[in-house]
Amino acid sequence: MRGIVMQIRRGRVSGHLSDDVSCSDSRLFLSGAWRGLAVVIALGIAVAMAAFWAPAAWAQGTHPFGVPEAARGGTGPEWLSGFFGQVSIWQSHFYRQLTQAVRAWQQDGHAAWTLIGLSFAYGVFHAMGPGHGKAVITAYVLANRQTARNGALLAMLSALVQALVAIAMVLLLAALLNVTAATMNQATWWLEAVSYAVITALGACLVWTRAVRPLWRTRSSSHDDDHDHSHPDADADAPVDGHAHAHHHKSAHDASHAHHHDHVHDDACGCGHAHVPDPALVSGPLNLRRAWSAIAAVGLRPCSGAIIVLVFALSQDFLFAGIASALAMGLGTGLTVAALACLAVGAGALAERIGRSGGSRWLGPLRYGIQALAAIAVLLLGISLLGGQMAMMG
Amino acid sequence: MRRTDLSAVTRRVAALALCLPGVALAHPHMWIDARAVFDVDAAGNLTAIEQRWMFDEMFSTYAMQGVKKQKGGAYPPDKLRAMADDWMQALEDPISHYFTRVTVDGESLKYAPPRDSAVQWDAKLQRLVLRFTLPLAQPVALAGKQADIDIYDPTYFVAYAFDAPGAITLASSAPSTCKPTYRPPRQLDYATMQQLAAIPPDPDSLPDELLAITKGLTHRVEVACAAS
Repeated sequence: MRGIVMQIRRGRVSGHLSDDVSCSDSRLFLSGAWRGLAVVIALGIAVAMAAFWAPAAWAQGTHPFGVPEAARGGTGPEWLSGFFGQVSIWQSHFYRQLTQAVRAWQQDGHAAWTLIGLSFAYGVFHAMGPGHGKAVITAYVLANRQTARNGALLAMLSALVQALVAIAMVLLLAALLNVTAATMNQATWWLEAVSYAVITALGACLVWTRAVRPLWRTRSSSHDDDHDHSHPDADADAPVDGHAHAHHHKSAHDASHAHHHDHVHDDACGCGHAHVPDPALVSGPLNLRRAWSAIAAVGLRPCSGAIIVLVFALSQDFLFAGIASALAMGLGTGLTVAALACLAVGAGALAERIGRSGGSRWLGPLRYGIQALAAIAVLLLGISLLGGQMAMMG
Repeated sequence: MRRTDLSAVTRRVAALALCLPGVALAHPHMWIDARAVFDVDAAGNLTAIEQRWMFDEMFSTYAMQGVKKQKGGAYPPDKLRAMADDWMQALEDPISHYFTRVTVDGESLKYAPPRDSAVQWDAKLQRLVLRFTLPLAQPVALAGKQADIDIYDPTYFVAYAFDAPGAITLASSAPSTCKPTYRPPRQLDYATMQQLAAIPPDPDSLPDELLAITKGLTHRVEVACAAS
């Protein structure tokens, strides 16, 4: 833990972001006077990714019919609202054709691709509209300094879980138990509530580990005598994930803290810290044990479009088409959010690279700032979603 | 799942959620093919609006999920009755308020409780229909005046269409001097979408601001009677 403090203070940080970022390599285009501009843009994008989607959440629960995120078009800057409006129109366009596509497939097996294509497109535009899922994923990825690859994987997995939850729900409630729409809505409501609660918990945990604790450690760390670079693989690890397992041999003080924190993270918090330890491991597998909370937070809430298509397909005795449609929607959503997550990681990395080139003094604070902001965004999003959900009950 | 069995909280959730999936289901849009008959009495007073909303097939199917058909393939009348009651109750909400707005001389008119509500299943089209009549609290004399009736969902969750021939008519009692004029919503251009998206989420501030912002975006019917 001391590591992050030392490095923030001394600016002695040697990240490995060039290896982290598989989506974009900023070295190719970054040079000279563009750097200043790039810093601004990169930082702007990084923060925007996490924060701009969040306000849409406030709209939920204030309308008797529950303001849908897509219909409202979100709040935020005008250009963004206009964009969401357009996305919403495209989305409706694809959604409306799904009924006919299900029937067409029933008549002719070759028409399967029509439904799958439409569903995929719906999923893509669904994900491009305002919504909390992508905000949670991108913010989580930024807060934990996940690699782009892991971020993309996280996005795909959560979208898959989302599709599977919808399929499981319709299979169980509609196909097996044949409950009414009202009951299905209630089930969805509870899944949403749990999902929002998980986001809130995840956000609280991220804020603690990414925003609060680093500050507290800075103040409580009064001496400069330990060193955080003794392990080759500790180099990137310490500043990145805030765990100090690399350093526990330094002093009794550090040791107790390091162990304590590790324990808290993994077992109590579970808020997912994919380590970014060293270049060799950077492209390593996503740690599911740690990332489950983010996947669950997003995935538990089934896509309503998928549920309705599934129920419609069931009514046509062609549930299989609904399942295919739901999975295609999930794929479209997953890929889109994955691209956004990559963009976020790229933006964050670009900011850091530029920060480093402009003098290493700012790198630590910059890193801290991105992580802390992203962590706060997750928490605020969770609180507002949960609040909106509770307001609907009252 | 009878309403009486539910606790107050779950009943509210169920009623809202049954009405539109938007409560629990944040995403799908709904499409309604609508018809409206404007009741103008022989003296030229606008007294009520008879509405008929036909929901899109996908939503209709979803809404009827789990409702068992009787012998002969019809849905049980008591289930349809309960749906109508739930929907009317949810539509009474001050924010949606039947998705209908009647303005005369710039003043919004109030409604009496709706009557003749019914839900029907169109077996041929496989679509659900909601009918209701929305009376004005005070009939309004239209001689030399114009009533503007907007039917729309301010959040654009529900998309209305009045495309069918004769979707907008006056009751047969109306004097021949009275005429309805239908003005379809403008196509959304980029600038308008931006304005629309800027509508604050706070529902309390909706009505007046919306009226200005969404002018030309709603399905507007102007009912006017020439002064005689």
